[in-house]
Amino acid sequence: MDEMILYQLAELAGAFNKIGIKPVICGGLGIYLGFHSRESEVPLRTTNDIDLILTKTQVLEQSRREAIAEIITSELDYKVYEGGKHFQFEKANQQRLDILAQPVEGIDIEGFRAKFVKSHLHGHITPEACFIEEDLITISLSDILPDNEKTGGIEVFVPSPTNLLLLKLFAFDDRDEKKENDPAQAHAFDVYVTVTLADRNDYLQGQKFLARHKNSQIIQRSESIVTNKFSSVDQVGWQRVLETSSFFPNLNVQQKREKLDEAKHRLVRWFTVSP
Amino acid sequence: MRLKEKEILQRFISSPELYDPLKITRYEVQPPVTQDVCPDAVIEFSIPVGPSFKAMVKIQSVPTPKQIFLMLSLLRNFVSEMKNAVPMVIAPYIGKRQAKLLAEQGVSWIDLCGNMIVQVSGKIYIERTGNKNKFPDTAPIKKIFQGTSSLISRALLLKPEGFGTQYELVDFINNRNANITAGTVSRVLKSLEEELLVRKTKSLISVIDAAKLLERLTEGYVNYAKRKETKAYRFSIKDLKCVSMRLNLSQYFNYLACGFYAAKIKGLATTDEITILVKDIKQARKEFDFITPDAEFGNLKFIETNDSCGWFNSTEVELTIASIVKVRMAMVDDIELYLEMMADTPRGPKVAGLLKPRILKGQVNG
Repeated sequence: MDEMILYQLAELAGAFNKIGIKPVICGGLGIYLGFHSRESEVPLRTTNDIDLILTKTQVLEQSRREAIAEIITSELDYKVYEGGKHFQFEKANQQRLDILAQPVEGIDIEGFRAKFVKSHLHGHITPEACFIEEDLITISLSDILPDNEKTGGIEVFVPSPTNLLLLKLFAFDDRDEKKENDPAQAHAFDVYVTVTLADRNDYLQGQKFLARHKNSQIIQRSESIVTNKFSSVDQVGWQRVLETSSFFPNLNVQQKREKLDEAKHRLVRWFTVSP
Repeated sequence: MRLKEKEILQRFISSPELYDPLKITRYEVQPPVTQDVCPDAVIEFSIPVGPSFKAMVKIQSVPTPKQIFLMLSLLRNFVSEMKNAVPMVIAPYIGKRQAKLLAEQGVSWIDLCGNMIVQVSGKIYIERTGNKNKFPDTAPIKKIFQGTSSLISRALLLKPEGFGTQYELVDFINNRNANITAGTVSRVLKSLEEELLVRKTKSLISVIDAAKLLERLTEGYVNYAKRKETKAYRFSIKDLKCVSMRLNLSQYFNYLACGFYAAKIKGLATTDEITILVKDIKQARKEFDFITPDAEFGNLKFIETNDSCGWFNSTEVELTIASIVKVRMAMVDDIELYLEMMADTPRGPKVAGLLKPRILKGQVNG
């Protein structure tokens, strides 16, 4: 992972920690943070933006919403990105920040945007993140950037592997339906990485999580995405991974398919919720 | 089929593409012997519209490191006797190690595969490498670092002070859960000598450079590990302690703790999994009748293998389960674990790094 984005994260998280909030990081960076300690041959995707998801607990109080907006737009001097008002930001050296929003009652909504602070801070509503606050994992940035003195004590949250899979399955499905192959490929790759690097404890925790919410439409839809797009190596989900140039470039097609077949078995089992 | 020295020279002379851009302007086969200097040929090379030089050539049909080493003193004689002559080796194929040896001594070489390093002080430097060996019969050794043959190197690392006789070495191996014949030991020792890895005198067989021997053993193991027939079976079990308890009751040495689980027992790594080498998975399933197959998320891995090398020098360890229960089980030795870790990238080599100093000290019960 490019160190620049980790320094950008340290700056953002440091400011959030000062007001008592651990930012929840998802997307490619969230996957990197969640699995960086599990050394494996599985290549982690690099990313050039931070996906920050604001959760119910973090935005319930107006004063907190304003404090978050203040940090992003004033203290850290992010400028709103043209075409992404006010949920996509950028600052010097192409440091990008995308704001996602867990669905929260009592917040003004317009289209796909939750307006946390009008004309200052919005979030892209992400319905599949409705359970994002469950089983959050704390990551200490000093473990990620051990040589940097400024990261001492700074912490962020990353979603549980099951929540990461939910986010990525929905994101893949969305892009696939729109025939946007490149982003679809990146999301499918993240599904592969997550389900492959997850361990038995993640799986067991995921089973409890899915059992708790088995009647939720989100969970039911995630099961159908897996069935329709990831239940065979020949289905579109895994085919997109197979097309990715960074997916085990030294292996032949048959060997790559074997890797995908293992991942497929794990994913199908993960999302087969016991009645 | 191995080429004879005469055939090597004939092929060389008649294949100008092998030594291009050099041209042969004159050559003499088996030139008259002068004092101690007896090259197989003297060849005059030139570069069109460029410098020329005379090479004192030795032909090598099987250029093992030992043969190269012995030849170096001869080649040095050429140079001291005949000023302005370039010492040169011509062989069917010169491997990387041999090339390094020759380069260190400033000896030029050309092979029949189109590889060469020619250096004429201040005049010419030509380096062309990477062509594959078209004469595999000339490879000095085959598979001496794999399977049963690898046990000789392992034994020499375990006992760096050496063995008085070949039979002592055979007994040392066979007394440690292995089965090797005197013939195999003899053949492998000969190859190890040719590779300058082992010194063999009338009263002592010992390793010359333990670190180099371990390196070669690792190369052989990693290649072998990719090919050897092993099959991993995963099972899930709620309480891994049950596995340790059953291992304690099982027939000794049918099951062998290996991989990161063995590294954990040795205090070198952490893992939530148990990994066991087994000789017969059906037998294991019968004895461990309380485990459930779980290919996706199993926390107990049985690796079935017909390669018995893992059991060589394996040791018995005592573990304390749940603070009070003591169980005994068999575990791979340091060398086997080192080799497993080197093949298990990216995490394994870090564990192997911790084992290496212990191995090079030569601890028999490691």
